Formats: sequence, C-alpha cells, structure tokens
Amino acid sequence: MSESQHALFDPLLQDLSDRARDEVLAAFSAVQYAAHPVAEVQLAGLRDVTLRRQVQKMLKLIGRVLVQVDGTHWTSGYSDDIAAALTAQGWQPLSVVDRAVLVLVLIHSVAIPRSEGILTGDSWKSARPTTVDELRTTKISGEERRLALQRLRAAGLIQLSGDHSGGPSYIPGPQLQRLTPAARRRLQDQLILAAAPASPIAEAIRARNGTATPLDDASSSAEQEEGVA
Amino acid sequence: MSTPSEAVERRLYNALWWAKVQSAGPLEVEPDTPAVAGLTRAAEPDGSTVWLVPTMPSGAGHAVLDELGTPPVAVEQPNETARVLAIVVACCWTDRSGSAWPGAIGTLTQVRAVYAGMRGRAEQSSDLTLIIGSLRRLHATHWIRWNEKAGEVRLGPRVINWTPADQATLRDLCRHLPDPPPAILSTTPDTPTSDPLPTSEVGDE
Repeated sequence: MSESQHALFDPLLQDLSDRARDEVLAAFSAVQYAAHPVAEVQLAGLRDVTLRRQVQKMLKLIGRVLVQVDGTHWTSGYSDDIAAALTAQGWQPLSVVDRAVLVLVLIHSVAIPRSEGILTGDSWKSARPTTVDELRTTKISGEERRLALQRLRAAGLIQLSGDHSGGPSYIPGPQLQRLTPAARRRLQDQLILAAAPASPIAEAIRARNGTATPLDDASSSAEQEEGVA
Repeated sequence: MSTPSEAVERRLYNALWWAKVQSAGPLEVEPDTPAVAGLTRAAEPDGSTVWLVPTMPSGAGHAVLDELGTPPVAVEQPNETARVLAIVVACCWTDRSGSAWPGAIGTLTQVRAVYAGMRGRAEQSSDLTLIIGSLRRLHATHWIRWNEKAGEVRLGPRVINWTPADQATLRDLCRHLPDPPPAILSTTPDTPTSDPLPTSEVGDE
C-alpha cells in the first residue's frame, strides 16, 4: 500500500489490520460527511463495538464524538468539552444575523410546537414549517434575511420544507441532529431564557446554571454555557 | 520526548484547531502560529498569513457515501457551481507544471468568456446571475477567493490538498475548456509569476 502519511491519525491507524483500517475510515467518513445520520447496520465500523471505539478515538482527535440518533443511526458532533472551550474563547463562526434567523426557525418549527405538546422528545428535528412571514422582523432587512437563509441552507442548518402552499418555508436542517444530548439541552435552555426570561422555568435554569438575574449580558451567558458542559 | 501533560495539552491544542476549521472552514492565521497535526499550511502569496486546511488520510472521504447511497450536505446548483470551479481552475492555474496554489489572479471577464465558450454560444443575460451565484458559493466554501468589488478571482486554499492524480485529471479538463482571454487586472498583482511559494504538509512528532 502506498498510503501517504497523516500526522494526526497515523499513530491510531497504524496498529490496525488493513481491513479494520478500511472499516474504521469508512465509518468515520460516513458520520462526518453524510448529510443525515447513517444506519448502524450499514457499516461494520459502527456495528462492531471494537471498531466503533476506534472511530470514537479518531473523532476525539479532532474535537468530535459519535452521536446516536433514534437508537439505530449514528452521526458525529462537537464534543461538549471542546464546544465549551471554544465558547469560552468567544469562537463564533455564524454572524449575528444568521444566528437570529436560525433562532426564529427553531422557535417556530420546534419550540412552539414543543410547548403545545405537538412535538415530543428533545430532538431539534421538525416537520412544522416556518414561513417567510414568520421570519419577518423590523431588525433584519429583506436582503439580509435572504442572504442569511442562503448561508444557513448551504450549511445544512435549515432546509426548505416540502410544503410550498404559502410560498417557501423552512424547517431545521440535518446538522441539528449532530447536537449531543448536553448541547440539545443547552439550546433548549437558551431559547427559554431568551423567549420567557421571567418564567418559573427560566428561573429554574438560572438556578441550575448558577446565574442570578434575568438581566445577564451576552458575555456572562457564554460563560454559563461553559458551566453546563 | 514530551511529558504526558505536554502530550495532553498538544492533543487539546490540535482538537481545538480542528474544531475551528470544521466549523468555519480553512482559517487564515499569522505565519508564526504553531503547527497543528493534520492541518496543511497554505501560505498567502505575500507571506503575510497562512491558511490552515484540514487533510484526511487516504481512504477517508466522500467516496463511501456513494457506496452507502447516502448524500452529503447538498450544494445548491451543483452543476453550475462545478462548471464555474472548472473555469476558475482554467483561468487561475496558469503554471500547470506546479501546484495549483496559490495560482494567478483571474477576472470575471475571463470567467464569462470561458463560460460562453463552453456553452458554445454568445453570452446570455442570465449567465451572469448563474456565474456570480456560483462564485459566491465557491468563495464561502474556500474553493476560491472571489473579490466581488474588483471582479477578480483566485483559487482558494482548499486546492492545496489536490493530489498529483487530481491535478492530472484537472490538467486534462483544462485542455478541453476554451482558452481564457488574457487577464486585465484592476489591481497590481502581488503574486510572483513563477515559483509558487513553498508549502508544506506540517507534521507533529
């Protein structure tokens, strides 16, 4: 074999047989690059516990972990400690407009249906579309919103819903399935704190996170996120 | 030899940089930023900054998705986008005996001319919308650097990972595309015309 050297992964891969190496790399690639979670039965690298442990080790080297979806599928996401360290550093690849538009989709497609009992569980997957009307706000211009929607779609954070009856509408994208259980809870907590800061449930979240008032600024809420992980 | 705590710190350092390039794409950093295992360094032509670009071991990559019949994250207008990337390669990879990075600066005029030539017809008004949309998408994903104001384009740092086999395929592809007209730049190029700057795959001992 004429494999080229890889400084990060080789120490891990060189101890494996050729066959195990192929299975591990296939499973690693599938969870990293597939748009949706992949079925465990499809790949030996996910089915076999020993090989799956090697996939976990590879992912750990790049700050990621395996995330199980629906008990039968796997994908990868950022590990909680790495996400917390980056949050503490102020790392934020999405612009404030992109985040605002994403949050609006999550509120209309997930948070509201969940509060109405239509959606259960802690997944951020939803078939309830958010219409362009629901995304209108005086703080974001039409052009800014259009560009943000384009970028969020390209990133897989939102997707077009199949329901075109009232013009284009959006649902959360497949990337949301990469959230770890702790990240899903953090996102839920942050939405509650933003949407209903005076509610008893918001009070409970602040008590759990060790933050006192609903008037915290953005920088202290970043620290608070770190504390959760 | 490093001590165990140095090794742990080193692993965390690598993992944090890897998480950054996965969430934001290749990153432009100061040249004195220490090496990160598995991230190739692509120096800007003027040497002022360096891009960190993730590399995968051979055997890892998108190929497995075809076997599984599962799609990657969808690209909008995939055919137009691929076509425009091929055109930018033809315009900016002028010295095809060497690496594609950093290449030369091309212009929107060149891209439009090759696009029309590729279609085998005169330019149509809708072409520009498709071309600009594709250039923006390719810029956002770091396949190219698109300066919309100047109407100028370069190859992006991701191309540093093209293997000799990829380059052979692309050389062949360029031969099948119409030759671009000469580039007339609005800015002075700071790119040397020969000898692309040395780039190296950076390792970790």
